[in-house]
This record gives sequence, C-alpha cells and structure tokens, in this order.
Amino acid sequence: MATTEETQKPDAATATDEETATLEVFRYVPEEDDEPYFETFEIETFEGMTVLDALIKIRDEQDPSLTIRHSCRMARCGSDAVYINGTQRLACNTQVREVGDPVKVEPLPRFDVIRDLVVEMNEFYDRMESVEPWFQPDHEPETGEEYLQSPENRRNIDTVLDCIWCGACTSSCSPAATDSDFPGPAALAKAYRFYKDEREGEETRKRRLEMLESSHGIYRCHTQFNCTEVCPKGISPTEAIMEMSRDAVKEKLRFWR
Amino acid sequence: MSTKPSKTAGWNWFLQRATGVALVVLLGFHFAVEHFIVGAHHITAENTVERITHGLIQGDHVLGQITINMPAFLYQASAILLLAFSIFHGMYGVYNILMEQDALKKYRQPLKYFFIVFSIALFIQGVLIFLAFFEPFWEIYDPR
Repeated sequence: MATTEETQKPDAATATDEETATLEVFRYVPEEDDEPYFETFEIETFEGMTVLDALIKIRDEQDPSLTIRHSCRMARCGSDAVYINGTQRLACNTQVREVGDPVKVEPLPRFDVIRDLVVEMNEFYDRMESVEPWFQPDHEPETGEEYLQSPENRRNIDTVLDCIWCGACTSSCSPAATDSDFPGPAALAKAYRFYKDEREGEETRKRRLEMLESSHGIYRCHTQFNCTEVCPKGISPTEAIMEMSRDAVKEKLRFWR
Repeated sequence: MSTKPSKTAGWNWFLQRATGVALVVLLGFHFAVEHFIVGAHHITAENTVERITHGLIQGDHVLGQITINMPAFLYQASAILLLAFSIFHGMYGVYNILMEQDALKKYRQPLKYFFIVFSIALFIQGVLIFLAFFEPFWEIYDPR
C-alpha cells in the first residue's frame, strides 16, 4: 500500500529533478555570430534560487563569456529584465523552481541585442525623455515655502511611482514595437505621474495633456494590458493611459467653455 | 514622440469607442433578427422586402412561429446606422494599424484620403442597395 508521502504528486518544478535545472540561454555576439542560438546549461539549484543566481552561477562556473546586465539583485534597479519562458520578468525576482523546467532565458524582445542577454536601452530612454519626465511647476513658491502636495493627490500617483525603468512593459507592447513615435507604456505611466501631480499647476497639466494627445500619443494604446501583466512592480500603465485619454476627451467635450 | 498636436485624434478615439459600443447593440439586433429568429427557409425575397420596407419580421424561434411588426423607420435606421458605424469602425481601425507601422508613415496623406474616399463609396453603395428595396422615388413622384 502506498504511503501518503508516495501518493503526493510532485510539483512541476521538481518533477524531473529536485537538485538540478536546465537553462536554455540565448547567446549572440553580433560581431562574431551569424545568427543567435540557444546554449543549454545544467546547474544545481537550491530553494529560493533566482534565475539571476543561476545565470551568475553559470558565468562563474561554466562559461565566463555569458553576458547579463545586473546590479542591485533585489528588483530595485530594473537592469536585469529578460524574457523567461515567454514572459518579460526580472531575473532577480524570478525563482528557478517556479517557472518550470527547462528555464528558457532570452533578451527582452523588440530591443536590439548588444551581447547575449544585454539589450540596447537608449531607444527606451529616448521614449522616456519624450514625455518630459521631470517636475515643471507653473510658479515658483514664495521664498521659504515648499511645494506642498495633499495626501490624496500623493495617493493618486502612488501606483505609478514605483517604476524602475526596466523596459519590460515597453517590450511587451504591440504598438510600441512597430511605432517608434509612440512613447510606450513606461513613458506614458511616467507622464501620468507628472500629469496628476497637483504641484505643477493647471497650465502645465494642460500643456502636458496637449503634448500627449499627439497623433502618436495616448490614443495609440490598444488596451491589451500586456504591460500591466508583465510589470514586476504591479503598475498598470494601461489604466493610467486610459485615464488620461478620458480626461483629454472630456476636455474636448466641454467645447462651450 | 511626435509632439505635433492633433485636433482630431481625440475625437476619432472617442468615435471609435462609441461606434464599437453601438455595434455591439446593433449587431446583437442584426444577429437576433437575421440568424436566430428568421430561419433559413424564411429568407425569401418577399420576406426581406417586408422586413426592410415595413419592419415586419416573420420567422421561427424555439418557442414557435414569431411575427414582429416593428415601426419601419426603426428597422431602416438600424440598418443604415449599422452600415455607417461598421464602415467607420472598420476603416479607421485598419488605417490606424497601418499608421502604426514606421515604414508606412510617409504614405500618411494618400492613405488617409484613400480610406476617406473608399469609406464614402462603400456607404453610398450600401445606401443604394438599401434604396433598391423601395419603389424608385422618380417612379412614385408625380409633379402634376
């Protein structure tokens, strides 16, 4: 008779082997390789091991040429966003055993590859800059005064403040892939952060909205929620974009003012 | 981002959504009348003329034979609105998808005018077919 322990089904991650995992890693050096390829690595895993841990282990023990961008290792810097088993994720925030076996690791789709898992981020930063993501108040405060913000207003923008510029959302966005004039979800969520900030004043708010209303601005969002699904910080750029779109149309509907 | 302000983008975005909602209602009505009530053997030239000119809907339903005599103008309005909204929604949607391709942006103006002219032509064609169900007004109209 089978014991309770024996009849329990092992979970997917440990079904093949509790000690090892297979990583299929995208490899490409544009100056040397004709085309990209996947290289398979077997590694010993431990409870709580992240994909970044695994990649660093491979680099340290098996192939020192494996290239990945990383810094804080705690989902704060956003530098290690990659494509793991078909989803944009932070390598440092994804456990090897929770994504199944094998673990397929690729660079962020729709970004140019510099080497292996490292992508060119300049185009992404240009998109971010296009929405002027910096504080632009209408008026300077009186001498000695501070820019005061109400707690309610702060709570309104709380949701989008956590953006770490990892690029996962922009990588997942269909219109951003084909339309280089579209700022993309990260930039528009950042624009929302300033658009909703009451300290900037009404004039700046209207100017920002006019800028975002360009023919390749907020109205290009397809409301697919891809960005919302992949954001490692739980931000919903789609909702921010839709709120700005509704506000812009409401302004137009008040044409008698 | 292209920062050139657009006066029409907001209105078009709004109309695209408004026509989308309207299409759900109109298509629901269209499907109910044409596919769920009528029944294939009731789709005859006579029944179609009756439906379009007098709003008389006859057909089968799981509950039995159905006869709905709705105001003719309501049925006609729903048909014309369905035609107009579906053309706008479909054409504007396709135009936008094309305009999101970097390679096609240089053809923006010609494509815009092509879609406007094509949409108007489709609408006129649809209205002409619709009017064909009525006696030609020039045969009815007697100036004497």
